[in-house]
Amino acid sequence: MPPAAENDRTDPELVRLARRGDAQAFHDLIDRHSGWLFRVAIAMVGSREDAEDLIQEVFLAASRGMARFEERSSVKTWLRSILLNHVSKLYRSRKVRRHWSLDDERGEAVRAEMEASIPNPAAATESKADVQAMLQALSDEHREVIVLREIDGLSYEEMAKLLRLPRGTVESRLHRARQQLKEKFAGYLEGTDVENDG
Amino acid sequence: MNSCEQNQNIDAYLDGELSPSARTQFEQHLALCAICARELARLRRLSATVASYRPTLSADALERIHEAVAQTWDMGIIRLARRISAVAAAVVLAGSLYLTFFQTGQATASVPVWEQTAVTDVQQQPDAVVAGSSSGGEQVQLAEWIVSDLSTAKQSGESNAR
Repeated sequence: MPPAAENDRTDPELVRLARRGDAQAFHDLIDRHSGWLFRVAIAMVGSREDAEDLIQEVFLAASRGMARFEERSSVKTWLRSILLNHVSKLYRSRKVRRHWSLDDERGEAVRAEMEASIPNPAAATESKADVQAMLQALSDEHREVIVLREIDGLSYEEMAKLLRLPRGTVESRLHRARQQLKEKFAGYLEGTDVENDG
Repeated sequence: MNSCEQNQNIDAYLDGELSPSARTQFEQHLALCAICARELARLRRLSATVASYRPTLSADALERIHEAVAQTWDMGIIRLARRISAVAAAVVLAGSLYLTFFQTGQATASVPVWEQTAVTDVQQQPDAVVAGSSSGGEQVQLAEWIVSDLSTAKQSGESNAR
């Protein structure tokens, strides 16, 4: 499909058009939102392939659920919540798979594979892939809040609403996540000279 | 190691989540506390490092997403068309059944009683119709009177002739 022409229509307008059967309006939504959704997805799941599958699932679910979207939140919030649901499902399936794999006779091979996939802080260098390694070193819960804050730019209140958690829980998870990253990647962070006004 | 009591505010300060007054207060503390200032600098580096992670979706992947959605969209239209066809067929069938049974019954019921009476043998007529006070019964009685009058007239004619 050729890239859609830039248009000035707002997200709610595109959703309304898509609901009336305008397929192009929905493709415009894909072009508009797939970039940031992908960044959040890949940071959460750590694999380009899984992230691409997730984005596809998000848009398929959105196309099926358009009739139920009541426009009480923004389209971005709606798509983000669909993504988070799919990410949670993927986390659960990974946990189940890991649990079963460790029990069977292939356990040794799986353990070796898992150990190899755990990032080595000492090996962290300046490349972008290292951020991915840093994020994957966190637990799912801690990674979620770090990604939503640092990559998606959500406020504490927005995260609390999205994750259905008390604001205090979001704050403490974010604090712990940062402390873990700081400890694991201390050498890397000390050596990185990043100018940021915060 | 950060041992300052104020370190609990560093994350909120970094994220812009402190109220204006708390922010001013914390900034005054930062000017005096080297521990918090160093911790804040580390967290800023960390934050900037994570935020710099900006992988992009490849054109091929975007194309695949468009194709998958288009396919589902088309399938949705086909499903909708099938449903509409099914509903239309059901309406036509129901209409046919209505016309076949209900309308035929109504046609029979709408035949006037006098017509039914006229084509029915008197002996086969139900007693209720013959003896009742319904319009059917009255018409049968009227017919009997006419027959009776005609018989009387015929008998009197024969008497006169004699």
